[in-house]
Amino acid sequence: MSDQTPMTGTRRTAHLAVLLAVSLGLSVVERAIPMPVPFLRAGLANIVTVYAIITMGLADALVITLLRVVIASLVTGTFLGPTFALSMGGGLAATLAMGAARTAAPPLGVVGVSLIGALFHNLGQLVVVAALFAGAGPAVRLVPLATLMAAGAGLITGLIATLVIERLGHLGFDGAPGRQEGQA
Amino acid sequence: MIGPIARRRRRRLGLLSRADRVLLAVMVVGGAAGMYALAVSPDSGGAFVIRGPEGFEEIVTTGADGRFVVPGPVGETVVVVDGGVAFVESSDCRHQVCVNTGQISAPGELIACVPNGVTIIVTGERDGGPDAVTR
Repeated sequence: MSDQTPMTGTRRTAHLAVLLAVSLGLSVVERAIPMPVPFLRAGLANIVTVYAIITMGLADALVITLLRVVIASLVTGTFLGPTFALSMGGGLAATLAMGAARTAAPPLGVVGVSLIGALFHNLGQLVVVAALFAGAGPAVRLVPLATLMAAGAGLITGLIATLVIERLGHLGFDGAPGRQEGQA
Repeated sequence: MIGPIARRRRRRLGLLSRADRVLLAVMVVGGAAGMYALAVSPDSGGAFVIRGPEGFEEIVTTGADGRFVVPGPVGETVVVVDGGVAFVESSDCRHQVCVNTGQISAPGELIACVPNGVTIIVTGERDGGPDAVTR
């Protein structure tokens, strides 16, 4: 998994645009899925973030996350509102934590990076809740539930991201432009 | 079915490494242990603090009932305190997460209507045992 090669120019821009479009589509799809438990979300858009972290690096993943949160909030009319703050807090925390895990914890695979991202996404949102709405006490009480939810969500998104990397790698989407499997 | 390219890539990536499994186990066990600790810790009664935008605040002590209409940016959120529990009866928000959260009664529990900027928090100490919390 050390085949991360920086992309530049038009190729990088095109990759970012495709991944941003996919993440926005997944965000919309996820909002349309009814869930039985409040706050329980699989975080489908994080599949793209995990994919970007693994194949393109932290900087590009941050660009995708920031643009996804801003554009999604503009579309849904929540820009600069409480929902925007929650999304931005969770998204930034998850992306930065995944970037750090990818660099500092090499034994972690795609699923492990995804688990870290899901955990810090939930913790980032709780920090925003504590800072803006409810104070630290109630937010701390939600940490165990957030951790359990992150385990499930991170496992699902990590497995899907692994399969996506497997399937798209031979197209050069794994950060090695134009490289075919089997080539040195 | 996956082809030889995907098979080679899967061997290289691995679905779950040993470190992944350890991390997953730590998160599950840690989360479950934390929830168990919260569940068995003693609660005590307190008050329901209802806050909304533009300085709206109502503090409803345990034992008092009421129905509160909290205005916000997306409309009205109706909070009911009745019999030691509080819940959101209705709200003009789109996803109805606050309504679906259900009832709260133990200190520290929280209902938040993020789109309308409304929170309901149960205050009180957690080391004195149940006070007047009923369901």
